Amino acid sequence: MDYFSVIKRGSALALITVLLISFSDQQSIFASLALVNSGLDFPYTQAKLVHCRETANEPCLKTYQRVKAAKKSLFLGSREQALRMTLDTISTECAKEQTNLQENLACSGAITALYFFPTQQDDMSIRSFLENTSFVSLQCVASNGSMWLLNRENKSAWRDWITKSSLSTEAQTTFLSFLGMQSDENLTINHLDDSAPNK
Amino acid sequence: MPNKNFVILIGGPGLFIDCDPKHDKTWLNYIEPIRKAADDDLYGKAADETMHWFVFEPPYMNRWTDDSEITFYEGVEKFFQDAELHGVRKRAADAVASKGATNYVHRMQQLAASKGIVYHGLKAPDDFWSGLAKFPDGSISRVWYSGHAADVGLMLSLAHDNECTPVSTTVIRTLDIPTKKSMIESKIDTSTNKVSKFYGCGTRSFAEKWHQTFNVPTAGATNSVTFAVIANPGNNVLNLIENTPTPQGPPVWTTFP
Repeated sequence: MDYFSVIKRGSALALITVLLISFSDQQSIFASLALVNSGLDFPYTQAKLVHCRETANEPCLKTYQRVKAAKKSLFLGSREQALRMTLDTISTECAKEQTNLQENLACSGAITALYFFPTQQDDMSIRSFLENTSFVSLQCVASNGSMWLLNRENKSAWRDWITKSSLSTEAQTTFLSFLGMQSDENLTINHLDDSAPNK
Repeated sequence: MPNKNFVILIGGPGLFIDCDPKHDKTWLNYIEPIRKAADDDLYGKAADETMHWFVFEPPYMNRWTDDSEITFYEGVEKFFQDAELHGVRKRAADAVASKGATNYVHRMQQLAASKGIVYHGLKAPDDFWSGLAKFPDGSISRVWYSGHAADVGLMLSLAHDNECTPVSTTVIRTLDIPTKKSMIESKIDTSTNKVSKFYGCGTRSFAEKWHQTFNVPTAGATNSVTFAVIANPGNNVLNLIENTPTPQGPPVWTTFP
């Protein structure tokens, strides 16, 4: 028996398994983060979270904990890794023809996660990504809710970028409208991490 | 002569599945209160108002497919559990078929036609905005909603993810309202005292933003509402939705201004 060949095949299978598991975990993290904008029971505001606690609303508290845990998982590595994982997920999940709910949620969750990266350095990475990503991904970012634009440190740089971008006129108008809004401190997305505020 | 348009947006049910028996035991949840309100003259319709139902159709088509047939697997499962679940679904579909309708969407079209209401079938959430934009300037007297909702917005359908958490990927977000201002503002009759009412859980924030953006009176629920009242609606189903407490307390129906 060619033991070397068996070991080689075994190693390859193990590597594929590890990759599949981590891909699945990644999808699961972003699908959970999508609950911020898609979860029926997610406490969207701090006032709602307080009400959920007062009334022992189990589905609400469970959904909140799930989103909190997903954010924690996203930031287990470095901040740069977290942003890279987010952009990679937009690139893979949003560009493909989505065949199931989990893929749809992973795409919208990754777009929601851009909210966690508001600094000017983050912005440069995000803009560079948007300039180089596929048209499908770009349109998906434009049409999947733009809550993340509320949380930008340098809004004027985004205004310049949007007006010069290849986005449709309608998408540009929507993006600019979101940029004009203020993020509400009362939103629960601002309070998912006890140690590090998003802003 | 009618020259105003009163629009009711009707969201759809999720599938009735055993891991979430709390939601949508019947497909009728969001259309029945609106139908009953028409029958009981609860719209307070003015002589110059034309009624429009904007029905988000995809969930009704999915639900029909799921309800109208008990699959082989469900038939086997029925012997062990959920016999009532499958029975309720099938009976609802059979009741609709017995009225000569080919599916739930067709039944709603029949209902609208019988009441002189203009029926519009929506395929995507944005069809709501584009539908409103088609009306003449100053002609929309009010907008109502009946369906799933949360503080984030009006959830036009409901699905369940891998952990059976209820989710919606077809949301008209509260945050979207100001971004549609330039598209819709001219269509709204701002001189009206007719209240735009949003029937769903946590619709208060949507109602407040609608009021702030379009400067018309609105109302919504701060907390959860229950559509289970359609089982015993009495003579004012809307009043029941606005006031019936849930395990999370009273809905706290709030008006703006």
